[in-house]
Amino acid sequence: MIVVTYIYFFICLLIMLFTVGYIMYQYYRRRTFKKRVVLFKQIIEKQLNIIHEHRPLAEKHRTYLIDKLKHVNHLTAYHDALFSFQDHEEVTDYKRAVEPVIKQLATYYEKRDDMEKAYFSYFVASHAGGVWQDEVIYRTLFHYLDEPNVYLRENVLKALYQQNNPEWITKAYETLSRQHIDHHQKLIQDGLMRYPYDKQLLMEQLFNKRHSFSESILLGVIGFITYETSDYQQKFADWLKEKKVPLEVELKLYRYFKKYPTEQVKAHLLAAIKAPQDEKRIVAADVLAEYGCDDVIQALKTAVSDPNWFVRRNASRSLLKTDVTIDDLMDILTGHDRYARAMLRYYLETEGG
Amino acid sequence: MNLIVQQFMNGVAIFFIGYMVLYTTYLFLSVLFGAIRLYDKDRMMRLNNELKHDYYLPVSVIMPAYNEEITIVDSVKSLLNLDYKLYEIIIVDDGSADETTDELLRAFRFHQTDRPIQRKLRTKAIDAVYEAKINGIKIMLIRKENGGKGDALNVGINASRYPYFVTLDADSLLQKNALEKIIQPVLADESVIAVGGMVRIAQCVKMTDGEVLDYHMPWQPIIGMQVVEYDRSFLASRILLDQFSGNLIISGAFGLFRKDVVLSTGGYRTDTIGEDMELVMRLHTFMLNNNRPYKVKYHPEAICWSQAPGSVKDIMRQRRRWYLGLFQSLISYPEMFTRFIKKPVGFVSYMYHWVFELLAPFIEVFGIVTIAIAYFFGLLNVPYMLELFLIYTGFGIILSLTAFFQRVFTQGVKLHVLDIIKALVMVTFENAFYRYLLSFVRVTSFIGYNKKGKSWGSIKRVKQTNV
Repeated sequence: MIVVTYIYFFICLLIMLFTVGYIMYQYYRRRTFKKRVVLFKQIIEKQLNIIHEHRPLAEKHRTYLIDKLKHVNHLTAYHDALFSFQDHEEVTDYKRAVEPVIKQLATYYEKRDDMEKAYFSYFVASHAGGVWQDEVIYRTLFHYLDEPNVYLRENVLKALYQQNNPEWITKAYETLSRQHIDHHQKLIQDGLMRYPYDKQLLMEQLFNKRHSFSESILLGVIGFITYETSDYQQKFADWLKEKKVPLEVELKLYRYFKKYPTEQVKAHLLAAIKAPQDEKRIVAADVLAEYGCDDVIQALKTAVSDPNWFVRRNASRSLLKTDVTIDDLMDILTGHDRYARAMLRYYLETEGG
Repeated sequence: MNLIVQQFMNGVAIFFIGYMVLYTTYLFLSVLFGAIRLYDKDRMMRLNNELKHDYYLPVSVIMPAYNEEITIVDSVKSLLNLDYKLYEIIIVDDGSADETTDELLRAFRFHQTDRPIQRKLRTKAIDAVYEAKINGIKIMLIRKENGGKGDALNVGINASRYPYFVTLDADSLLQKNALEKIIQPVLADESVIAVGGMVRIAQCVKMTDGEVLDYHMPWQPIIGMQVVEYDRSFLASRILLDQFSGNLIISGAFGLFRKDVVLSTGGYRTDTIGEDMELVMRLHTFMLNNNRPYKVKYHPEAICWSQAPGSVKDIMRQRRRWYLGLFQSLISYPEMFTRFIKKPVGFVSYMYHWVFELLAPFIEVFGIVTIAIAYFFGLLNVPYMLELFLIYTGFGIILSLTAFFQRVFTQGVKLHVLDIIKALVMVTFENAFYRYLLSFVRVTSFIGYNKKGKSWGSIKRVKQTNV
């Protein structure tokens, strides 16, 4: 027993010493990092001046960068240094001139662990915008998506959003879907919204490939389109008519029609508010607020007495947003359903009619 | 007679050797995995392996309160300055006898409403609902009949609008980025149903608008010993159990939960003392019983500062509650042993809590009795016993110090030499005396035990400075 405890004691002592040593190393590393950033700033500035004088970038500089940036600690410092010149007028030309370096680095980092690959992708995502468009870079990054962890795939996707060929993005989504990797819909949606090029073209490509995407990606794509445009009313209405639309996708499409109402789906929504699935009734009761005609008002009046609390709540709120008459409201407020009465009264007080 | 006693002593010695080897192995692995995880995390942060976003998922922050007039306003103010875009705050006053509600009504511009709240979970009656909007954040104050912490949390869940909720003690202060951090495991993996944050002792820190201005180790021994105890627990043990989603405890002081799953399991139980542990154990068994994939994560980067008891009396009361809560939770889920023993959460987590948390104080008492018997029969090897005590205490000191330094490097805390000296003193006292005091408290916990007990068990609060 004592022997075991002694062994553990000494190993723990070593872990403690390692921890203390690591704390000290952190101080050293921070100092070294700052020095490296300063050095890279000087080097970049020199090259920016050369570009300013309309001279070509020194080949030696490219060789130096390839040699140094293979090490991730140098790459982090270079990232900071380059970032500090983001408003410099020559920086775009400078980045264009170092694109071959990035191409080579993409291949180097392919052999590294996920964490370093993720950092390289983050580096590309941070600086590529409008400049680094060479297909080789993105083809290589695309190869990083073989069973990636969440950070790697998020950073690779961020990098892919920075190049102007939507095909790479759809291919990446297909690859993730094929591997049954769920990337959170929120991450997909927010990422797509940062796409700086032709979003219409991107949406078109994504929509055309929708059947090869997993559900989380589909939800993110619909969220993105909902945020961006009303142009998909027809396409989404047709999609709703398809036979095998997953429930979550159907609900997300309903929400699109809340933001961009169209008569084409009114009948579908009126059927949904009577559907057996609670989720459909809940969302339909919310969306129908934007379709305020007589048959909708009657459907919402009925839904105010729905057994599901959320349907009642949404129906009450929606009803008050339509052109409901005083008589219709009085029907509920003087009716027998006290839950419906209480709900409607609250929203009348807080949101008005 | 002597032969029988000797045989008995041999048996006891074998038992204790096995027990100590297992326990020290667990502690050793805790620190080892803690070190590996923290080193990895440090590298991840440096290399931007993080889900950093402008907009995360909307979250409801539920803060149950009972007689919290001293701290409640500061706690709510601290919640208004978080680096998070979309959240609501729900304060549930569980029929306080003091001026908790009045303090809030004086401090913020609430107006009373008739907001309908669905009773998805059965609770005691609601007396009044107040609403306010400050800095674009919706705040709801619910005053209800007294029903215990679990009941207050259930009311908060009923009133919440968002799919995830965070529970927070009324004396807790969240660090500015705490919500952002605690939601990240959910974005990384949608099968995450609960996330525990790291709880640290608020008496060590000066904060303004959710940012730590100054940190120091306190001289007050009872606080200082809790600081090193929390470090060891939150930075070592929980990280080890997190390797296989095996944490059975998410502190009520700061945890995030997926609402639909909590609702499916029936919410918080109101007839138990340790409602936080009970809920997590129920979530585990519910998901395992239904063969649903899930994860319960621990995220030490999400930090909450909570007031620790400042007197021996308060700490004894708190630990008694914790111990009884542990007992109630463990005996409520025997299927962890009978059905899920092959799962790591059953084999490691559940067994660990039984053997090294629940039974440990009794085993220690048994050990002391055995020493007395051995001494009486002249069978006690005093030098060996002393050596064992010293090496065991030394081992505990090293573990605590390692956890202390691990926290320093992961959280970028600036320490002075005096803080390190204080830490050394505190870990020594903690391992040599404090843990035995806690064992005593645990052993005597069952005296006057009422299994229906559900009191809040409040401790004396002090106003936090520079919030």
